[in-house]
Amino acid sequence: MMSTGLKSGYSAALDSAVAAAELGEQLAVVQPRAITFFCSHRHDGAVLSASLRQQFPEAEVIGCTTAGEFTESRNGVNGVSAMAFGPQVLKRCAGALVRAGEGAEAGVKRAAQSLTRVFGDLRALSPDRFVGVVLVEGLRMKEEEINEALGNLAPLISFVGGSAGDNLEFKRTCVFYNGEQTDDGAALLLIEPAVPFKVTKSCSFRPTGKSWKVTRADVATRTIYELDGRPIAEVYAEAVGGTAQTLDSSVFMANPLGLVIDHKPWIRSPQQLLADGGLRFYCQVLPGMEIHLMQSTDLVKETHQALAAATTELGGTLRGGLAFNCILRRLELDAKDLHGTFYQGFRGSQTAGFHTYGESWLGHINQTLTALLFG
Amino acid sequence: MKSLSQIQRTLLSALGSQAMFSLVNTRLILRTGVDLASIVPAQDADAALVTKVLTALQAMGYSQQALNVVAQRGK
Repeated sequence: MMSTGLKSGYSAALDSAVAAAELGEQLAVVQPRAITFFCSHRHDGAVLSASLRQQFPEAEVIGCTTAGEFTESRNGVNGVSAMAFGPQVLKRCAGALVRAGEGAEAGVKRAAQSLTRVFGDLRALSPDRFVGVVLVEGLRMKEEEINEALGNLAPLISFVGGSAGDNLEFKRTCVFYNGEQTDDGAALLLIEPAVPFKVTKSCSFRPTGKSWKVTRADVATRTIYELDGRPIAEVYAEAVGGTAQTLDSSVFMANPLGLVIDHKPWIRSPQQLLADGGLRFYCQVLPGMEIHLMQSTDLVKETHQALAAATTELGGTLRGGLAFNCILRRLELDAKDLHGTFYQGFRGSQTAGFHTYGESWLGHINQTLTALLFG
Repeated sequence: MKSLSQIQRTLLSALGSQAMFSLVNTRLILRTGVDLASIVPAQDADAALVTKVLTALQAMGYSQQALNVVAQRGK
């Protein structure tokens, strides 16, 4: 088979050393300069990371734990998916591990020094030639801080990625870089592709026309208390046709709130109604923001349309890429038995991805498929 | 700078392209709730919002001083 410079891999092996060996065999064909891997939290990601680095010493290796892994042809919840980038698609790259224990901003600044050593001043890089991948630990609610810190250092560069998961156990998630790991930080990969690339964001929701101003919120805990001066539970329940007592995860999943930016929804997914009347979200909403009630559309159709549009923009051929799909979307695919149809959107390409605890692109977002695609 | 529309014009001029402006504007919206591409007329001269936006831009390396230089060049 002729190499396109991208190669996805998948292993269902439960032993991390065995999985790493299987992946190594699958990925070797492109002579990887960079590898991203996405593994079940039951795997020892540090072993995977170190073994892949040992097999491909020239490659930068980043990874994270997941809420499910997939490629264009395989998916599961206890395996590992991976993507190798060869010299045909990658001119240069640099990776780093952010340790956020002493603060996200300080951690990002320190990690970015590794990127600067390869690329020079990050602010001077053109967004048409450079793009980043960011895998963020998924339980400490530091995604906004980490994305903001990246934005402060390189405001014009897109860092695309997702928050690590642990398949809905909500106990511990990790990110990895060249054999190192942390459960409080992020893994970064900055690349200079040798082929056209595009960031695409698919979201199967549209605004209903109902919107409110956030008048009271606790930003640090991602909790909203009031919309237009009224208790959020009352306003939200009224809008979705229920009462505060009937609000549960199925209502939240089908009726998220969101910002509208450039005519497109940026979803903020409700997580749980708190005893103090607040509604906690999976990402931050600030006081003063206008927030819209969203209604769901066809997840698979929207995704396929977004991938088709991106393919057209990339010149008509989708070589492949990295895909970050929200866990709430996976749950919808589970409930409607749509996994098979969903992954058909990547058919013919080399794609690897995972189901996330949130996606990253210019900030932290929910309920999207956010992808970095190569033509 | 005393209005959001003034910041919008100056930032667009400083960045030099609509695509780059969109990237920075999206970051701004997520940080402040203010959309410089769709300014609410009643908020244009809101001093608190102007300060909030300038602070966010400064964090991204676009200081008021640098933006003012661009604004002066444009005159």
